[in-house]
Amino acid sequence: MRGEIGLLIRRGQSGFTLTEILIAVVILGVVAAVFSSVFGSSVSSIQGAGNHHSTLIEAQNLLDRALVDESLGEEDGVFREPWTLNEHEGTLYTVKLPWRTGLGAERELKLSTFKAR
Amino acid sequence: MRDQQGFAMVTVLMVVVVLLILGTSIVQMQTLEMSQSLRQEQNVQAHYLARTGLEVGLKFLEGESAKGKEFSELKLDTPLCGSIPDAGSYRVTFETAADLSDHYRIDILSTGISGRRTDVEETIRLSVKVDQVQPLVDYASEIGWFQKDGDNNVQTLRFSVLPLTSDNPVILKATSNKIMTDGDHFLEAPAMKFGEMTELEVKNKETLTLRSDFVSFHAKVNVAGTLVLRALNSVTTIDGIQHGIVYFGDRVYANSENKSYPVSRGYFLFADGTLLKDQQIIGELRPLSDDDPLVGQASSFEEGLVVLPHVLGYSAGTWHER
Repeated sequence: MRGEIGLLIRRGQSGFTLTEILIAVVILGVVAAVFSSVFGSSVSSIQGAGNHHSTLIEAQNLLDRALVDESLGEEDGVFREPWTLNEHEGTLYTVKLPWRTGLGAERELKLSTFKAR
Repeated sequence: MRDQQGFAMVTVLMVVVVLLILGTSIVQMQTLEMSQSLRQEQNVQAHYLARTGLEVGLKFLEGESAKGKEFSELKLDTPLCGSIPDAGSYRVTFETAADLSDHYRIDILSTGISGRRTDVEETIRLSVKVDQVQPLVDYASEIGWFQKDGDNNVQTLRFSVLPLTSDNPVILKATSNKIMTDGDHFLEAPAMKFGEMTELEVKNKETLTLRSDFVSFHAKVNVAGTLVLRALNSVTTIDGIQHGIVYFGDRVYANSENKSYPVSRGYFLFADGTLLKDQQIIGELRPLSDDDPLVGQASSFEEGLVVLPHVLGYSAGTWHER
């Protein structure tokens, strides 16, 4: 009699546990897949932000140098054009540098300033 | 043992919740990182727009000073605004400080506004010291060319038996905007400039002799008596006669506005000893075209008579976002 009761209890426990484990594995799997995807895209996006930041610092340095160094040209990403602001003639300096997003797309960063003659 | 049923599910749900929180945090961090990066780009662009405004503000002051204007004549109430395509705009305002004994101070406040996504502003303040005169320029009022107890409405030239001379260029400006003779006068300086708002009147039967290589009249001249133009060192010599340059910025009248001399606005080359008397020009007064090298020489004289601002340096730059 004691043996039969023990068998019933073990049978009941093992049935629920298997279902639980199967559901748990499925849920965990789905969540892990979503999480890894989000994590992956987040990491690449943060990498993209890092690229953007370093390109911005580079562009800033380049623009500061371009204002005093006439040897920097379009091959360096420095563009100059005659410009007039408030009736004062001068030069519009624009720095254009490419940068790559986390997803690999190429974008362009532009900074402009004006120097009067 | 039956109470333990569902324990694995609870654990899984807890793990899922933890992962969701973690995932949401990562996504938020990523979004924040990217937006901060883009905002930083706008901040930098706003800074360069503010610097653009400073350039424009400084050039404006230089231009105003180059016209020979005094500090009180500078029109600093109207903001200067402009924009650069695909970058943003700037706005420049001026703040003036009180007379600081030997100079004035103008603060240029330039705000750059970069509005690619949301508007971002940066404001830079630049203090500019404005000297009233360069050391090599004299004001007639400071070297005793005017009568000290003159009429409030008219500034009168000081009578002197000896010529009134200066080794420096002289700016003749009157607080009342009119300078008048009081007898015969003889003024001598390398260059003389009558201020933009300063009218000159040579009274009837009186003679004003100006001995200089460059004389500049910006306001009208009324010669009821005699105006004599003498060359000092001569800008050029033609047929052995020394010549100087004179600029008329307005009409030259003879006592009344109905009678005027045949002189138009512009630069002229005058022969030493040329007279303006009784609506007639006795001597030589030859108009100079704008491309004449002598006009360039006249400009260099004028540059010696301007008041240029001197940059003190940047004060602390401040920025704020809108």
